[in-house]
Amino acid sequence: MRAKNIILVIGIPFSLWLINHFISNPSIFSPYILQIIVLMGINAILAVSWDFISGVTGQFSIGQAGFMAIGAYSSAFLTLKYKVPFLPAILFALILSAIAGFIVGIPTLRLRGDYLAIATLGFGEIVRVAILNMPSLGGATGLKGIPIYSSFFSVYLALAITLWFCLALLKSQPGRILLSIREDEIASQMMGIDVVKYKVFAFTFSAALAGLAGALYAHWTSLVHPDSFSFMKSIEIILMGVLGGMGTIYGPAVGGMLITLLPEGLRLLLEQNPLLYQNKDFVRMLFFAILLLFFIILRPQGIFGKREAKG
Amino acid sequence: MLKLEGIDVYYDSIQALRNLSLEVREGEIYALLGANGAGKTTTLKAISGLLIPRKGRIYFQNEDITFLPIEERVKRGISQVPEGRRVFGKLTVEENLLLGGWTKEREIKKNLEIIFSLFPVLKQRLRQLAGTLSGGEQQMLSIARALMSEPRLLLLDEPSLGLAPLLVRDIFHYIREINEERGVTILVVEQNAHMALQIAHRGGLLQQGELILEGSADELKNMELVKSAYLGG
Repeated sequence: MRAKNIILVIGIPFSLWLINHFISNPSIFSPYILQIIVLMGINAILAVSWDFISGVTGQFSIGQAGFMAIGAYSSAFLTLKYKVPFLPAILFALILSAIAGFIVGIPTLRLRGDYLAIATLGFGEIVRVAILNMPSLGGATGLKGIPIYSSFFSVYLALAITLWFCLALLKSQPGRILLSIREDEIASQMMGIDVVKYKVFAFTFSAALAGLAGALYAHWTSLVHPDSFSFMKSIEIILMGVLGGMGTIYGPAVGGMLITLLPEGLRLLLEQNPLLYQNKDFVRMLFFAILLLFFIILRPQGIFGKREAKG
Repeated sequence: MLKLEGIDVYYDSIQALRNLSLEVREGEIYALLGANGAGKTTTLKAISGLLIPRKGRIYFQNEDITFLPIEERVKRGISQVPEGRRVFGKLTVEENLLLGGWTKEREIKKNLEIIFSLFPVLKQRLRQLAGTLSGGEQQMLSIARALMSEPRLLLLDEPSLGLAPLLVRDIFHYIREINEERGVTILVVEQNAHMALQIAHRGGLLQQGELILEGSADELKNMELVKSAYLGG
């Protein structure tokens, strides 16, 4: 086991670094393809962050885009205005979104089900509207000219660490506790588990991951805009998680990649037809909605989820 | 060992327990009987900490635990087997047991051995999802999970609920074994008064939130009121 771990710790970053050289070479892969591949990684982290609070812990959040926005704006602000290097900016984004998650989590996690969903939805909108009204963050024009620090390497390394950490956590006692809260909150309480404490922990951790994805996103697209973190983004994140299989961690990662890739395929199809192409956003949303319905009815456990035991 | 002194418990504005006083002695099985809605489950919830009384005090081993949080009570040795079993269905049997023992992490190995000697069937089912167990096995798992925290007082809420008569006998046999061999004091709430009084040392009868009768199991069995209302003649 030890030897295997050492090989993984050295091997994964090294191979990512090698692939990075290959993939970032414009004569081999077009910037368009690279763009999609990197966004797939970022969305995978987002989907995992949502799965951690909603799939694993069972607390349905629809405000993930809000935490992503906090991560994106806070890191971009530092690198843009204060020329802070990338890594400290990412750490700052992680910490700030974690703090936001902690503060939002304490009062809202006493709520259950629908109420929690509404509260997190409200939070996401508050973040967006607040940014819209902050001139120092660019307001409605957003922040432009953010240095492009993200790369295939940094995004996929972050994804690998995220996956490894979440999966390891899931096999440990704290992970089991989170699963038990999802299964039956009252029974967990009877085991002597401080349910609210663990829910706040899961929420904080999930917010930090979304913030990480936001920071990577801002430094890849070089531009952040309040509209990028709207309610629709949160819904898209949920779609990724449900499609991949809630509660499995790796499922939503794959779901995040597929949901990034599918619209591109869809675009290729739509380009054949001018009428559809004019309404491509509409067609895309319709397609997502049908996909979500299809999965919820025919395969609620997602692509990788375990089938629920009957009875 | 456990003493309730004049507790009043409410669900919002509805009073569920009225001035309830009750004592469970060290080492005994105490059966709390009563019809639906008499306040049996509410009493257990007040003891385990899921509900806090508006009036009165609860003492456990001579310490006031009335306002202690649930987790603190579990650490002190009060463990509840909830009504309807409530196992974590999508987790394995092993994970359920590990969760039960999370307040006593250092003793997990030892406690697992104890559980397996008591319920050998659970050892064969370790990797199975708890939701796929039969009703009787789930009840065993629910009891085993509660035992993982090394309770001194075990609260059992309707252990016979939804089980076939033969399984009910098995479960009550296990309850007696836990009491006799592991020395765990037991407070059991039951509608099946006949079964409960067979293994209990003492018991009480709740009616509309009040304790109207108390006595040894033999005394209760022979009381007209208990006979007519709860033992079927």
